[in-house]
Amino acid sequence: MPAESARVAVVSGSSSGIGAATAAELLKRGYDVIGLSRRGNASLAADRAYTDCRADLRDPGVVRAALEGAHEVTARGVDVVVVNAGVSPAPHPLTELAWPVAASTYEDNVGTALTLIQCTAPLLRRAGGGSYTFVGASLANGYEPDRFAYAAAKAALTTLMRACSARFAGDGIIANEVRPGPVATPMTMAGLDEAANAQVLAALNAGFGIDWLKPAGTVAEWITTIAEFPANGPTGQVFNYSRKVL
Amino acid sequence: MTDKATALRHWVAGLHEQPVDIGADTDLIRSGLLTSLQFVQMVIEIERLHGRKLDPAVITIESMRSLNAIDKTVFQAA
Repeated sequence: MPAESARVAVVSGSSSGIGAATAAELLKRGYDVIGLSRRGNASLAADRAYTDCRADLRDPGVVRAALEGAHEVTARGVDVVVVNAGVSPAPHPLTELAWPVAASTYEDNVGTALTLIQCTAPLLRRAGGGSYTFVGASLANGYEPDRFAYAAAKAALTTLMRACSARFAGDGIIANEVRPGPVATPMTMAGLDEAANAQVLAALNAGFGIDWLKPAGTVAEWITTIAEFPANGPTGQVFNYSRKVL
Repeated sequence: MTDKATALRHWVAGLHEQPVDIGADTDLIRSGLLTSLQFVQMVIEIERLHGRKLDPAVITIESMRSLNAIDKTVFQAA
């Protein structure tokens, strides 16, 4: 049972990567966290303040039911929503891209975000306001044609973020986006321990001229800090942490 | 070079389908012998050959740039 005074956060796509790291950072900052993902996160679920909700975000009914199942946590409302869940298909030549791939990518990224917003807006209002923080991508600028499907979906997410900032301005709800730039994933760094990771990332950045590759935990700190902006703070903004793609 | 550095040379050579020339002082990065992902795998391979985890302070781009540098800062320093 969560403490009555705890702030509450909802994070989508919390099974791994940036979503898992953000859920962990919010837990560290004293939030009760509801994680929504298809696979769940057994590691985070070991924390009593974490509620592991397995849900396919493409299905609004399932998401609504999952949040209703966590009604004890959301009784006072929700303070922070991190819109993170998404799918990035493999690069594909623009001239050969089949529309169903682009449409499916749009549904997986934008459809799931819209569902999350529609299901959580009443909870943010119940808490008297809060924040939506979108996890965006520098690719949304559109200059990588082979990533068009993903880039277009991420560009639409930016539009959705701005629409939220306008729609909920009177409710004390802000909406912003973080574009983290290159992030080291568990897959690329598998086999190394955390202490070595930071050094390897620094060596990679220096040696290969990579655009500031960083661990998911660092990105999670930025996301959480932006999610904690006050109701009269910045809204409708894109915070770009990339160093080469602006 | 130590046997471990020689073994590492074989490991790097094994990443390529065609024979490659890897000198003791060949820049493994600028020469294109390693991609960024393979660089991470090489650090893991160095730990395996070394028999223990590396001191994070040792993992710098200069200490990992050539077989000689790796040999001196890791294998011979053991």
